[in-house]
This record gives sequence, C-alpha cells and structure tokens, in this order.
Amino acid sequence: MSVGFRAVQWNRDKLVYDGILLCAVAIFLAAFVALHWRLHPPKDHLEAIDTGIRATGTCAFLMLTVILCIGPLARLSPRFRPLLYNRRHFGVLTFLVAAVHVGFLLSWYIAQHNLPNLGAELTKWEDYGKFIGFPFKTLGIGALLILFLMAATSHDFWLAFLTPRVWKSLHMALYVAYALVVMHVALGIMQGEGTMLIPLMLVGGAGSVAVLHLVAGWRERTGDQGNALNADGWIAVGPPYAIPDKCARIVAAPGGERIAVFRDGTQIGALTNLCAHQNGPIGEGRVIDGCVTCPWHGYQYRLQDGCAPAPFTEKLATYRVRINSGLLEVDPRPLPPGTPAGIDIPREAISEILMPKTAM
Amino acid sequence: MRRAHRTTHRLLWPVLSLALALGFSLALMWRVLPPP
Repeated sequence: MSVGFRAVQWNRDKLVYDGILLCAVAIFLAAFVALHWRLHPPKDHLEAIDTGIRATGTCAFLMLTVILCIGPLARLSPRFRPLLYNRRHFGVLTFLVAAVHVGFLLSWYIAQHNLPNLGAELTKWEDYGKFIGFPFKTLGIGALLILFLMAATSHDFWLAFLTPRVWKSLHMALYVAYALVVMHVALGIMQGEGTMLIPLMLVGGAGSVAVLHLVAGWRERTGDQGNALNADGWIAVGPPYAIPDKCARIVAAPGGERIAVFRDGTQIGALTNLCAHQNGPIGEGRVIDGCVTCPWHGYQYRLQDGCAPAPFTEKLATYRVRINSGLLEVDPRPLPPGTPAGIDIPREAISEILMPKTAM
Repeated sequence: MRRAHRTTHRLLWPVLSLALALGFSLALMWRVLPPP
C-alpha cells in the first residue's frame, strides 16, 4: 500500500481481470475483421489494412466508452465496483489498441509511398478554419497523446509523486480525449460513409456516458447538501445502534467533505470519507480485521486513529465523536491525519445498542 | 471523490454533453457524402 517504485503487483484478481479484457479485445477484433471481410472482401492489401484501421479504431472507441461508464456505474450500483479495481489496466490497453490503429494508418500511407501526403494533410492550415473538412486526424493525434499521458502516469508511483489530488485532476483529461475521439470519428469516417451504423455508435456510446454521469451526479447531490449542525456545531449522526456493525454512516460537513462514521462492535470512529490512495469512498467499505477497508482497492486504516497498519504509512484525517443524550454526534472540523479520536461506547449506552427502547 | 471533483463533474458534464451533441449534429447534418 505504501510508496516505493515497484512494478505491477500482480495478484489473482488482476490476472483474471486482464485475462478477460485481453480475450474480449481479441474476440472483438477477430469478429470485426471476419464480418467486414465477409461483407466487403478486400480486393488488395490496402483494403485489408483499411479493415485493420476500422477494427482497431472501433475497438478503441468502445473501450474508452466502457472505461468512462465504469465510474458512474460503480456509484449507481455496488455490483459494478469490481470493474473499478483494475480500471487503469483497461486504460493502458485502450492506449495500446489506439496506437495499433495509428500503426495501421501509417502502414496504409507507407504502402502507397504516400507518407508525405499525411504530413501535408496535417499542415494544411487553411483547413483548420473549417468545420466540415477540419483535419480530423489532428483530433485523433490529440486524443492519442492524452491516452499516452494517462497510460504513462497510471502507475501508483505517479499517484504518490503527484499526490492523489493532482493525479486525479490530470486524469480527468480523459474526458477531453473522449470528446476529441467523438469529433475525430464525426468529422472523419462519418463524412465519407453513408451508413447509419457510425452515427448510431457515436450517439449510443457518448449518449450512454453522458446519461450515466448526469444520473450519478444527480443522485450524489443530496450527499453534498451537508447535514444540519446542532447548537454547538456538531452533526447528529443518530443512535449508535443505527449504524450497522462494521459498516459506516456517511454524513457531510456543510460546505466540506463527507465523513464516514464507523462502528466496530462497541467502538466508534469517524474518518474522512476519502481514501488516501485514490480518494475512494471508504464509508462504503467495511471493517475487516479491525481496520476500515476501502471498497475500491482494499487500502486499510485503523478506526481509532486513521493510520494504515504497519509497515504502511498512509494516514487519514479523523473527527471527534461523542455520545450525547444517547445520540452519536461528530464534530465536522477535521483533526490532523493520524490523530486518535475513536471512542468506546459508554457501558450505560451499550444496552441502548443491544435493546433499543421501544414505544409502549 | 473529493467535493471539488464532484462539483467539476457537475459543471463539466452538461456543458460537454451539449457541446458534443451540437458538434455531432452539425457534422451529421452538413456532411456531403461522396457519390456512390
């Protein structure tokens, strides 16, 4: 879990994830080429290369679409969370497929001894003032460069070196890459082909990404509204027993970040809801072996002080908690990371947990 | 996800969706297909 440059730390889950991914890509490319050659048998090797351009381009677009859908899907339903686990490998593979797409394109020009024409296309400056006729390959090159940047900085070394906040901001450039790819296709092949398959693919893909993000964002709005503060500025979480054992209730500081209030038996602790690794929602995780465990990649933190167990060094900000008139309250002002702030539920309140009073 | 990132997403996505929808629609409407 801690920093230090190590190559990919393979485990069974990552191997299974990558294996499924590679098989899916191979099957897609094989099926695309087989179907395309059946419908339009290539007359020469140039048309065969053209099929390769189409197959890898379509594959890269679909992969990018799926990658961008994983985030909001995981917010909408926990069953999609396993897809988040090794998403960066998905991204690296997408870059490789896109690079092969460019490789086929260069082969197509080289086979015709026409490579200088490619350079002329990209440097015809008057075309950059047009909409229809805009050099769409430039848009593709821009997208590829962003994908390269994402792939090159996907290792945890860069995450720690740049800090999670900067790293995540950098990786949001993927949305710009997606927009460039959509316009690369819309101003490229869609201009030369009458088939409705290409517009449908763009509308279906980009539409799905947009709708999922908008729905997930709408659902998250209520979580950001901030819980009401009582007279002395603390947030009432509720009866301690209302928090399921080894789980958390997430509350929001007004104008601030979310706070995960965990209960592990009779111990209560409040940590920032942001995992130190990739800002995953640790409040949606569970307490395992006495440690709060992030649902995204399994990073762990002690409930009492927000510190990762030795030899790891990550720390989370903690929050003061108290039991006040039988209600659990949390102070929304964060303490420095690693500050012990967990409490044991007082003995007199334990019976309230085990046998909550019911109305007579 | 940090609050700032959620806010950025909420601002970014409607704008990006509209811009892409406009760009795609114009590209589709104004395309001149080559003769068969």
